[in-house]
Amino acid sequence: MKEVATDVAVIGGGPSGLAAALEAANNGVRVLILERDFELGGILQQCIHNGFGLRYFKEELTGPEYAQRFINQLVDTNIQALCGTMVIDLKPDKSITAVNKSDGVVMIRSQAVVLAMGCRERARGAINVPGDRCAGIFPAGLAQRFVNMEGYMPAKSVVIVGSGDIGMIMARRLTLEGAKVNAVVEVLPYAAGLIRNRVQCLEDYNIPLYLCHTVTHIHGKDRVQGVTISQVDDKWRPLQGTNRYIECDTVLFSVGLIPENELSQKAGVALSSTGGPVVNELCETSVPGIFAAGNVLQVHDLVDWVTLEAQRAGNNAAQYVKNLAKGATERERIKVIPGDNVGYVVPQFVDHLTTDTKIQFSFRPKAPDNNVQAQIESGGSVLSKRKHPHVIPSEMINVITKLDPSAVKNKEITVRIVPQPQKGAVE
Amino acid sequence: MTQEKVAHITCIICPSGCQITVTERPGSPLEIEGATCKRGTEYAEQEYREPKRMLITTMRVDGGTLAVIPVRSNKGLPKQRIFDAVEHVSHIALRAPIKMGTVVVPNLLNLGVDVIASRDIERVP
Repeated sequence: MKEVATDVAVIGGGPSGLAAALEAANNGVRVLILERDFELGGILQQCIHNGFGLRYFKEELTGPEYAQRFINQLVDTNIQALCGTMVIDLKPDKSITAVNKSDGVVMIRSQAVVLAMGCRERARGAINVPGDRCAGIFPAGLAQRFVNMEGYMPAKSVVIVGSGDIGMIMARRLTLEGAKVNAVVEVLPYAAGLIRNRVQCLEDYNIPLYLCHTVTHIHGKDRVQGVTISQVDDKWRPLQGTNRYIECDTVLFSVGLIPENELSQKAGVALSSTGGPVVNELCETSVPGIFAAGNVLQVHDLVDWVTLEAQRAGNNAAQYVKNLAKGATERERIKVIPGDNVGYVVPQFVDHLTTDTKIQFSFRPKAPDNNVQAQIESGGSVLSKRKHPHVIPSEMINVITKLDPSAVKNKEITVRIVPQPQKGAVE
Repeated sequence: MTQEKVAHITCIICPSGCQITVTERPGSPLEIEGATCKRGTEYAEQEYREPKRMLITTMRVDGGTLAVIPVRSNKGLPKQRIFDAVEHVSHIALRAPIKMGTVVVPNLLNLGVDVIASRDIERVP
């Protein structure tokens, strides 16, 4: 059995794993990336559209270009990457069991671990769509990989369930490749993804978007033959008499992503209600020395923020290794609470607060709103605030701020989205 | 009465998604209403006069680690030529290895736009 020793093991070689690995290596520790696909880059390799990197590189790149820029940086480092290697076990002592074709079973001993496994797509079963179990039903991202990487065209006539960005981008992509996209069906009263995608992926190609609708039946014997869609009420219950049959040979589901944390759980990492690990401001999980970043921690909408989060995790993993001899530091456990119109906040805890520490809070509104203020509050006083003309659940809000430790009361801070206060009397 | 042309455009510059109305009357400058910032006004004018889109597609690869390679145009091309462009490049097969940034189709359809590779593709050993 092959045995490998490293300082920081990074599980996953997508955007988060690459950024974490590079940052850890820049701090002078040994780094090993474990990637189950045959190459690095992760999901970016199938996201061939542009719109990536505007924040991080200050230019607009495609997904593969964004990935390639990081992959190219590996050359000048001592980072070792094992591709085609699937991690099957992770223990609290940070020992890893992996398998690949050339070595069989590989045992890895590491001082610190960065979890960068990303997320998985929710599929038909996640929303329990009734009907036949025939061929032609795919998660949208899988179809994206078929078309954009493997050169297969899985559809001629399509209905897409869910108007998230992947769903809308696939509507355009399949149209350009010659398929007819008959409908995008969205249960919410608004398109779930970016406005840009609604305009440039659906409206540009006259693809009908059915809001407040859901698929109530999939029909087909061997292959999909059509779907029944129905209008829903505000509790997402199908309304009698609103059924409509749409012929198609393929149904794509773009109905959300789930952080992939089976390995995290094996290592005893505590998970939050969002499915990602509970972390502190260093991206460190409940198990000291195990860090998490990217979509495994929280599902992001912009890769640029994944990179920044992963750099933090990689840097802190390296610091952890360097400081091992000094022994464990005390965790302060300031609890970060999601308040008004905030669905969740990452990190869930702040453990090392000084006047100079810049802390990044990532959160999403529960519902769309206009003219609001994102506030960080403790014991009744507002410690940080920023104006937002428009917030929607599909766009994550990031606040990077210093907090005065003496202003934090009861070891609790609340992140909330409240109406923008009116300045003075309005004439 | 003079002829009036009206177009309704959803701004994509930021998440506000302003609904912009562009009105053209012979002999007078374009009237752009509904935008709440300068970038929105500029976008609406461009979108009204000559909408452009990036070409984003894949091309076939022989001898590579993948069957297709993602490619993009180096700048926008007229929106109505996107289908022609996808069709045109789909008939061209490239040979691995290919490096990111390589011009794989120069002056696409005489539009003054180059198509470039979005990533490296290695040769199958």
